[in-house]
Amino acid sequence: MATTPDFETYCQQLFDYKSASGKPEALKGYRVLSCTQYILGPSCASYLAELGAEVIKIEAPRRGEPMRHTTPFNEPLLYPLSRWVPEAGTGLGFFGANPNEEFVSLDFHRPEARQAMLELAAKSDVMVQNYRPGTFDRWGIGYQHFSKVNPRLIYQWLGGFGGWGPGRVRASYDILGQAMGGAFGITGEAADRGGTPAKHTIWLADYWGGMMAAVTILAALYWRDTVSGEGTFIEYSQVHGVTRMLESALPLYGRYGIRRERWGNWDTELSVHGIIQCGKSSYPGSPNPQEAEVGYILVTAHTDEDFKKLCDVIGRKDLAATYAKHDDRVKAENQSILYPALETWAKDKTKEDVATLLDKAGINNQPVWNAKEVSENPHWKMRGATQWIDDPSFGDLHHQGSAFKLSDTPPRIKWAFKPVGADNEKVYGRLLGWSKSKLAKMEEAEVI
Amino acid sequence: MINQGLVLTCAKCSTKNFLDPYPFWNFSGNTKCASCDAIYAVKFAKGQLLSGPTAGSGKADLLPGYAEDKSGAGVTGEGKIRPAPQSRPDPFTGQQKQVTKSLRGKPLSGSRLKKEDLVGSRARFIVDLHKT
Repeated sequence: MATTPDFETYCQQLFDYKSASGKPEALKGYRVLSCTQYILGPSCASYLAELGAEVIKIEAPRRGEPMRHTTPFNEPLLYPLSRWVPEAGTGLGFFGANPNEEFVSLDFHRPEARQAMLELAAKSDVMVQNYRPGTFDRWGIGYQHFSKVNPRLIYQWLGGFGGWGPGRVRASYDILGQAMGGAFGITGEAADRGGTPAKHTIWLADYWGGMMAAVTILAALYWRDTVSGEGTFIEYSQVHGVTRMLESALPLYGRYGIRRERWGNWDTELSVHGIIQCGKSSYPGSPNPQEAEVGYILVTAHTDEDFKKLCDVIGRKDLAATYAKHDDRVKAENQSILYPALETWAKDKTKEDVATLLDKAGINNQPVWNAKEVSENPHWKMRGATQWIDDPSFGDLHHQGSAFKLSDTPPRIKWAFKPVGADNEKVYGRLLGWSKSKLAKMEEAEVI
Repeated sequence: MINQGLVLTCAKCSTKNFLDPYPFWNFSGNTKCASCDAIYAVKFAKGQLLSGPTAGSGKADLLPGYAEDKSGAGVTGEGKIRPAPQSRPDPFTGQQKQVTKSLRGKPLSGSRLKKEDLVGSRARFIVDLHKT
């Protein structure tokens, strides 16, 4: 048997993100038009761009899509917003859902723009848009129009509530999707600890929805390229996507009429398997008020053996005896005794102190990390989960790397995004054959 | 037939006022020319212009998102165009945070630019950086 490298060495050699640029890209050759805004639609197109598809993002002239104008609090913007508005910038809310794309501007309302859209669609494989239902059909650039000029086109529409049904014509947002889809019925504090629902601030429903749509597009491309030769119209409802994640909540309701309740940072199925507060800051004396706050840590010791070890560590052998069986530990009233006992023990410790003691006892745990701690972790740096990129438009940017890992066709982050209309000349010139004078005329006529 | 209204060209001074589709999506009321302050009444529904722009009077309910005068120069400033939402000033300095370097000390385009600072759509200093 030939000698093979051990698994770690093998993976490291195959997946080293710094050598990705020398390898082919899985989706190279597919062209995607992205008329998307906020996160739901853009993230769908960006996953395809990370995998090598040529994604052309089409935005309103001058100011672009609204996500460019959101940024957390007063944090810095990236300049310029566009060559026409150099004194304004793009907010950091735009990060993460638009890498590797080409950026053109177009006023969809204009008849000349409609013609340009039809010509672009004729030369593309995929179209993604997430305007309100029927808007693009009203503007003459819906699937029914595009499929006439390109019957092979895959057209993905994403929206809040689907394209038909009495509740379709409303604006949706990630938080609305989570509220209506049922997520907030489950996530948040238990009734006796305040009962407040908790939203995922990282726009989980949007990023998940974008991923669902990207997977559907790949399925449609497979069907087109290996079976039918025909395009597909795809609809995605953001709310439905949230409901799809409710796991046992619906079967539970259907069987017993019981609503699955919020249970905070503890777990309804395993105990101990939750997050506890540690009483001391990890950064004592730091002038940064953010670092003065106390820490949190996930502790998981739900097997009888691990639970006994945990009780030894915290000096509560009585709990090990009383709650030796998991069926007893997992009961709601008993969790309300166990977790406070853990927090009492952790009151004079940092999350790192707790981790050290639990590691020593062989108990699985994980301090709850913030962006700084994630950024500085050597494991995730080595794997490219966090990386610095030399962005051609904006300079030195810290960025999340692609989570896809393919040995022969690795994804890569080439740039974070570009100013509005940065690729007008390149895209309209190369794909539609517009001359310099036509570009100038279209700009003068306020079409681009 | 689509009645587009994204760009309102002022009848008095020929300034092009860009009415963003998002805030103006279902807007009904007064806006104004960023250059000469002429008031216009407009009515949009689901992103389409239903009526206007009609010369009016009174105060503007919503400002254009961006404007260019006859020469193509951007018209900006307080009370002229609507600032980009949520790019709030720092509560202590009254200014947005401007940075020229990243956390690790390398050049970053995080400060306001002027037209002459640009090469195409990129900041000149970033272009020069990549030349070296």
